[in-house]
Amino acid sequence: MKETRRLIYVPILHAQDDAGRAASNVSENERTRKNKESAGADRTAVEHMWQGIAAKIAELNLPWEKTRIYQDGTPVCGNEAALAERLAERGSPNYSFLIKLMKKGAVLEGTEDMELLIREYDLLNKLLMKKAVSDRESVNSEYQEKSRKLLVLRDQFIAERISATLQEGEFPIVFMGVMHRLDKLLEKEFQVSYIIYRLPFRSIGTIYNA
Amino acid sequence: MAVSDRSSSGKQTTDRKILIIEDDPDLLGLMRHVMEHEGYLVSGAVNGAEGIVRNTQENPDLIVLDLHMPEMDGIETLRIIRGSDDKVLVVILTGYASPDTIRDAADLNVSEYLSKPFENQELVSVIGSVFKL
Repeated sequence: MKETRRLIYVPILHAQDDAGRAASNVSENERTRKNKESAGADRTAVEHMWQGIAAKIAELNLPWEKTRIYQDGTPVCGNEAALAERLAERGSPNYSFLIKLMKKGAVLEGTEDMELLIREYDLLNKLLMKKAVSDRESVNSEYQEKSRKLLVLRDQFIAERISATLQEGEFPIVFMGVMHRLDKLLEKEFQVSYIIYRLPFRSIGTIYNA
Repeated sequence: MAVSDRSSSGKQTTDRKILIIEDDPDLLGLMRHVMEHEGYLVSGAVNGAEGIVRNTQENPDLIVLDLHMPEMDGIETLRIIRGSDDKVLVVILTGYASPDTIRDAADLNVSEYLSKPFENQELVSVIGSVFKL
């Protein structure tokens, strides 16, 4: 009988800095919507979340040279490590943490289908470019519906990607935005252990988490 | 922050009211002590049903809500509370992280989700940041 493999699943909240180009294109628009103090509190909450996650993962004593990282928003492109470095340099606490794990020996695996990801960014961009709150509300319901359908396809791709790339003897660790339902697909194949520290919904909401 | 007075600890007290819904009386007592020390006005409930009643009667600014309680769990409790109160801030506490409950909590407009065990100062920090925003 085949032994069920263990998988570490970390539900996370993405901040604007994690969303890459789609969010950076509209960051100025967003900045006008928030005052500096509020934005600072948001960043502190996100950094605190990642510090807590780092502490919990450190307790696991994973063999990093045998660990494969799967991160939502990371396309299968052959340049995953360079992409992670670029996002970390731009201030993403998520990717900064991944870089630390990679320096310990973990491998970052391309996780998402590029075409599906571009469709998600296009949807998100359309929503974030709306300045007026009333415009945003009407676009938001359209975004939620389309994004939800897209997420099903993205999760299917990610689950297949994990099965296809994980090598014998390797440990998978998955960082996934809270709105994904990938866990449902993975539970069929893996014994899933969840790690969570803190999720500051009020600070950053769920908008970047599809 | 609305400031009204100074507590015996020397900290400024506030007009802000916190309701803690937690079935473990020891943890409830500890959190109550910690939050009172920070100057908040604190009340407690040991189950979801009592929490729903207290929320209606006391109209707190923030609820600290344990997810895993017998009879009525935290999500069910919050669903009922949200039926009549979409304003109260909510900090969820849980010892078990399940994406299902996280998604349920997000749908019910919670402010924070904090896993157990936590340090007293972490809870203080989380509640402080929720009020600050």
